[in-house]
Amino acid sequence: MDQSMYSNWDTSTDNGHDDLLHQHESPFSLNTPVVENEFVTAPAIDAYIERESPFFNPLTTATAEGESFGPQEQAFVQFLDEIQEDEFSEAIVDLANEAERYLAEHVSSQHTSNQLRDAQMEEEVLTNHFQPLAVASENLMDHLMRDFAKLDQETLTEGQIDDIFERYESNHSLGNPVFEEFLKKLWKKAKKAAKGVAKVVKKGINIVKKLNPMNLVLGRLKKMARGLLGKIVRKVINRLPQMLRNPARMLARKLGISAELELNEMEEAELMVEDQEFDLSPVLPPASADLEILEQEFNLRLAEQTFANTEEEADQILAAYNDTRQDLQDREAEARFEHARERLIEALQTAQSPEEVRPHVEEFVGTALMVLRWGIRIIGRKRVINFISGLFTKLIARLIGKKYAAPLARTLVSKGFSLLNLEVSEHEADTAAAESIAQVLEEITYHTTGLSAEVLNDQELLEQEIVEQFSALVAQNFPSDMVQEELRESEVGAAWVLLPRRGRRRYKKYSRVLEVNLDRAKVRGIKTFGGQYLQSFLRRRHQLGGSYKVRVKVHIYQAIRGTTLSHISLLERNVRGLGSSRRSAWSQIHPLTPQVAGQLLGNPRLGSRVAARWLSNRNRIQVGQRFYYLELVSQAAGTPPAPVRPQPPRPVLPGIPSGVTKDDAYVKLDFTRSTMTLALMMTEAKAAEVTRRIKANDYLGAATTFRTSIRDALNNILLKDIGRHVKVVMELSEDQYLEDFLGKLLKAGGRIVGGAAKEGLKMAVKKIIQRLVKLAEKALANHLRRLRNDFIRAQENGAQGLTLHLVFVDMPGMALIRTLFKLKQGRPVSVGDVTGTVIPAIPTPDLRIFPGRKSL
Amino acid sequence: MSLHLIRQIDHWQAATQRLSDFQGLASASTWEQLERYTDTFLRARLGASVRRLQQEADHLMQLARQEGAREEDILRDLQQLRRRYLATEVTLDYFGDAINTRTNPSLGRHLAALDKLAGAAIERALRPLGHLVPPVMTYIDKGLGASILKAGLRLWDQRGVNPVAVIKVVRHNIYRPTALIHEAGHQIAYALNWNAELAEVLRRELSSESPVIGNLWAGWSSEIAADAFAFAYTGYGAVATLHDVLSGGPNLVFQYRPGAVHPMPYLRTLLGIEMCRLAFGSGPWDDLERNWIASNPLHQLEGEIIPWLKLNRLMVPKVAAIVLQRPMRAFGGSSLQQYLPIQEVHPRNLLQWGSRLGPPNAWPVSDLRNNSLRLLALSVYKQVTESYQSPAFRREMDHWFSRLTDWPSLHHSQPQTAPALLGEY
Repeated sequence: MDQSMYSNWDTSTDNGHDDLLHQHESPFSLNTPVVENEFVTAPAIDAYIERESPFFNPLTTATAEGESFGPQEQAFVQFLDEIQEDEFSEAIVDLANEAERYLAEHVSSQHTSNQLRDAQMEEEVLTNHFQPLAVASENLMDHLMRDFAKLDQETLTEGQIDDIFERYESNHSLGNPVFEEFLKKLWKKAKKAAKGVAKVVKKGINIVKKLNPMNLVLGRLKKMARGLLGKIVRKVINRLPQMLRNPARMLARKLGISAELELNEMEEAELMVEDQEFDLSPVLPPASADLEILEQEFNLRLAEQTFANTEEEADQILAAYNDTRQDLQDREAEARFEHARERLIEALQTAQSPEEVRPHVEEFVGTALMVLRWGIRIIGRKRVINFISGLFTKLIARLIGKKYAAPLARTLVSKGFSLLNLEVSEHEADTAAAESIAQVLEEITYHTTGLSAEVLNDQELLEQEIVEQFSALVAQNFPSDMVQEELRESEVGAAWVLLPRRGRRRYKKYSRVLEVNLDRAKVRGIKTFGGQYLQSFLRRRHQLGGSYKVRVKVHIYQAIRGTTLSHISLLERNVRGLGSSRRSAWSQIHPLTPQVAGQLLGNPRLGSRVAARWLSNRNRIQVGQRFYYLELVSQAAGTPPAPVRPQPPRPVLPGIPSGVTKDDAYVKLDFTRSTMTLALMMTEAKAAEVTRRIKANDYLGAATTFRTSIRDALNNILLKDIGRHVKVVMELSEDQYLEDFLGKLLKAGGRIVGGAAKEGLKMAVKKIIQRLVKLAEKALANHLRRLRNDFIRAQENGAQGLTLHLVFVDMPGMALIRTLFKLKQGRPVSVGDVTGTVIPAIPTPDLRIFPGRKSL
Repeated sequence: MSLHLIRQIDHWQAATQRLSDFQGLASASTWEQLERYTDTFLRARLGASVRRLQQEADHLMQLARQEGAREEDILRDLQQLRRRYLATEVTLDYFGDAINTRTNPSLGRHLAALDKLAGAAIERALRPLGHLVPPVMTYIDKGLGASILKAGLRLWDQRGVNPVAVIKVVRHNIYRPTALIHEAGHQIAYALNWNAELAEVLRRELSSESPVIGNLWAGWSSEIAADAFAFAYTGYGAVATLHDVLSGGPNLVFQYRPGAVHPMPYLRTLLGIEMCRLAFGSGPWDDLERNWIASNPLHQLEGEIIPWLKLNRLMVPKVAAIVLQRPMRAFGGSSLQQYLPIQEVHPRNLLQWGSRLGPPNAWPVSDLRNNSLRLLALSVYKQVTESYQSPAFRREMDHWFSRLTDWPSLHHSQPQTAPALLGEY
C-alpha cells in the first residue's frame, strides 16, 4: 500500500510510513521455504464448536433405506421430539435479557478493575435475583410429583396427566413477568415430558423407575431447572462470542451406535471455508453466546437421564450438565483479555513511540485469540501473533503520541459524541480515541481467524489482507473526516461511537441519525430477520398499511463482542420506542445489509454484508453486523394513511393457547415415521382474511394466500441456510437442523462428485419443492372446503391467530433426502444416480387446524 | 373562702388525680409494645409531671382551706393550676395518642421494628463520640411527610425536656421508612450540633458566589443534614423515596418560602442525586435525574426565578461535596463519609451482601439486629428499583421486622388458591 488511508493529518513529520509493505521488519525471511500445511485452517470453526472429539455424526448410520432401528432408539428420539418447545427457547432468551437488564441497572456501571471479582459479584447478585424463580420451579415439580404419586402410573392416561397439570397452570405469580413466563413454559415442558414418558412406559420400553416414571422425569426436571438458570447467568456474564457446544455432538452414548464415518474438524472447517467461496461475507464470530442452543442441551440431557440404565448413570449425566468448569475457564480467559485491552488503551494514551505500544499489542492479540479459542493446534500461532502485532503497530504509528492522537480525540468529539448529544471530558475523549484504535485491532484479529491456510502461510498475502482490513476498519471506527475520501462510508462527517460511555462498551452507534421519508415503494422487498418483510412489520407495529408517507429517524448500530439487540434497546434510553429490554422493544431493530442501506438510505456502504445465517433471528448476530431502528417522527400531511386496524389484544386466559405474533412457516422431517409436516402460522389479521374468503366460498383464494409462505419456507429450508425453521427427527438420537447437514451435504456431494452433481442435486430438490407447493396449495383448498366450519371455529377461539399443519404421511420423497445423506458417508455417487432420480408421487397431505400457536 | 372557688379547686384536684392512670392514655397491651427502656423513661417523665401537678393541686386546696387565705391569691393560683393542667394533659395526650397507634398488633410490631431501626441509627452516630443515646418511639399518622419531636426539647408542660425521641411515620411510606432515618438524623445533628457547623461552612463556601446564596443554603442546613444521614444509612433508597414524596407537581416541586427550613424540592432532589453520584459513581440515580429534570422543566416558571434556580443548581455539587467530604468538628474531625460506612450501602455492595447472606428470614436474630439498617437499605433499594416485585419485598420485610422484635411472624397474605409456589421464600 503506497498511500496512507488517513486524511487531513499533520504530515509534516514524515517518518516514511508511506510504503508500508517494505518498511516493517518481517518476522519471516523471504527465502524461508514455506512449509505446507503449516497453518491448520480450523480457526473459524474452533471458535464456534467445541473441541471435544470425536465429532459424532449419527447420519452415518443411515446406511440403507428400510433399515430399522431399535425400539429404544426410536422411543428416545420421539421423546426428544415431544419435549421440544419453541417458546421455551424464547423464554430462555427473555431470561438472559432480564439478567442483562438487572446487571445494567444495578451493577454494570460500577465495575472495578478486577474483572474476575466483578464477574463473581455479578453471578452472586444474579443468582440471588433468580432465586424466587428457582424456588418456584422446584416447588412446582414437588407439587406435581406429590400429586402423581397418588395415582397408578402404569395406567396413567393423558387426561389424568392434563388434569393434574391444570391445577398448577395459572398459579405462577412471582411479580416479575419474565419469571412468570419462564415458569409457564417450564410447566408446558414438564407436561410434555410427562406425556412423553407415559408413552414410553406404555410401549414397554425399559427405563429406570418404570413404576414411577413421573417421579423420574419430574424429579430430573426439578434438578435441572436451577442448573439451567445458572447456565443462563454465566452466559450473560461471560459474554464470550462463542457458540455453545452443539449438544447434538454430545450424544447419547447409551445407544451404542458407533460412527462409521466421523467428519473431523478439519473437513468441517474446509466445508465452512468452501461455504465462504460462494459467500463473500466476512467470517466473524457471533457477537454473543447462542442461547437457544441451551434448550437443545436441556432436552437432550433430560432425555438421556430419562433413558439412563441406572440412577447413577443419570446422576452422572446431571453432574456433567451442571459442571461449571468450562464457564470458569472462559471467564478467566475473558478477564485476561479485558485486562490486556485496558493495558493497551492505557499504553496508547501514554506512549511516545510505537516501541512502547508493541508489547501491549502483542499481549492483546494473543489473549484475543485465546478467548476465541483459535489456534489451539496451530503450529505457527506465535508467528502470526508477532506478525499481526508488528504490522499493526507500524500502521498506527501516526496515532501514537499526544500530538497525533489529539486530532483523533477532537474529531471524535465533534463528529461523534456531540452529534449524539453526549458530553465527554478531555480525558474521556482521549480514552475514546485509544479505544477506537484498540477496536480496530480487535476486529482485525477476528478477521484473521477466518483467513484460509493459503493466506496465513503467505507473508505477502497476509500482509495485504491485514492492511486491507485495516483500511476498511479504520473507515468503520474512525471519524469519516480522518479517512481518505474513497474509503469513507458517507459524505457527511460522522463517526462510530462505542457505547455506553459508563461501564463496559457494548455496541457502536453511528453518530448521524438520518431522517428519511418512508413509503410503501421505499420499503418494497426489504426483509428483516427471519425472512419477514419490513412492510409486514410496519403494518403490524405502526398500523402503516395501504399508501402512507411517514418521516422516520434511522438510528444505526453495529455489533461488537458482547452485543445483544436487547441490550442495545435497553441502553438507548433517549430514543423513543427503545430504552427497555422487553421483546416488544428490541424486536424493532432490523438488520442493515448493503441492499437495505442502499434502498432506505441511498448509501449501501452503511450496511454490512453477512451470511444468511445471521439474518434468521435476532438472537444470533455477528460481530460487525449492522442494524437499524426506525423512529417515527411524523406522517406527511396530505396523504392520510389507510391504517389496518389491529384486533384488540385478547387477555391470555388459562387453557387458551399462546397467540401467533407473526406469519411464519416451519417444516418438520420425521424420518422415524417418514412424515413431513408443514406448519403455517398465521396472525389474527391473516386468519381473519382467510376466514373472509372461506365464508365467500373462495377456497382457492384462501389457499393461495399461503403460497408464498410455503414456497419461501421450503426454499429456505432445503436450499438456503436458514435452518431455524426446520426440524429433523432422525432415527438416531439426535435432532438436527438442516443447516448443519443438508447445506454441507450438498457441498460435500459437490466436493466428492463434482460441480455438475451438485447442481443436479439442487435441481432435484427444487423439483420436489415445486411439486410440494402445488400439492400443498391444492390440498389446502380441498381441506378448507371440507373443514370450513372447523376453521371458522378455530379462528373465533380465544387465542390469537391460527396454525395449520399440513402432514405428508409416508412420503416417499423422503428417500431422496435420505439419498443425499448417503453422500455424506463418502460413497461415490454418479451424476446419473442423482440427476436420474425420479421424483416420486407425493401423497396428498392431511390438514389439522389449531387455534393460536402450535409448534411442531 | 368562696364555695365556688373550693368547688373548682376540688374539680381540678380530682382531674389531676385521674391523670396518673396511664391506662387511661393507652391500654396495657400497647404500652407493652414499647421498648422497656422507652417505657421506663416515658413513664418516669410523665409520672413526674403528673405528680408535680397533683402536688400543686393539693397545696392549693390546703391554702384555700386555711384561715385568712386571700381569695384573689387563690383565684390566681387556680388559674395557673388550670393552665398547667391543660399543658400537662396536652403532653400526656401527645404520648398517649402516639402509643395508641400500636393498638393493632401487627402495626404495633411494625412500629416496634421501626423503633429499633431509628435507635440503631442514632446509637451508631452518637455513641462513638460519647453522647448519650435517647430512646426512640415511633407512631403512625396521616400525611405526606414524617416528623420528629426531638429528645431534649422542652415539652408543653414546661416540667423538663422530652426524654424520648418521638418520630411520626406516615402510612403511605410504612414499608419504605427512609424518612424515619431522616428524622433520626435530625436527632443526631441536634445532639452533635452539626446544624450550626454545617450552616457556617455552607455560608462561607457559597458566599463567594453571593452572600444571598450562602445564606440561603445555610438556612437549609438542618434539613440537608437530616437528608445526609438518611442517605448515609440507606443510600439510593432514601433519595428515590424522597423523590416520590416531593413529586407533587410544579407547585410543590418549585415551592420556595423565604426563611423556610426545607430546601426547594427541586434542588433538594438534585442534591440527593448528587450525593449518590459523588459516593457511588453511576447508577439508577442518573436515570432518576434525567426523569426529574424532564418532568419539571424550568420553562414553565416565570422569568425571574429561572436564572436564580439555575445558579442554585450549579451549587448542588459543591454542597454535596461539603456535606459528604468536608471534615467536621461534629464528627470528631472526620467527614461524614469517613465517619459512617456509606460504601456499605453502595448498590453493588448491598446486592452482593444480600446475595451472600440469603433471605433474611433464615438469619439468626442477632444478625438481623446487628445489620438491621443495612438490611433496611437493601430492602428499600429493591423496592424502589424493582417495583414490580415490591409485594414480595414487603412480605419479606414483614417477616424480618417481626423477628427483629422477637414476635412470631404474622404473615396473613398467603394466597388462598393452590399452594404458594414460593413456599418459605
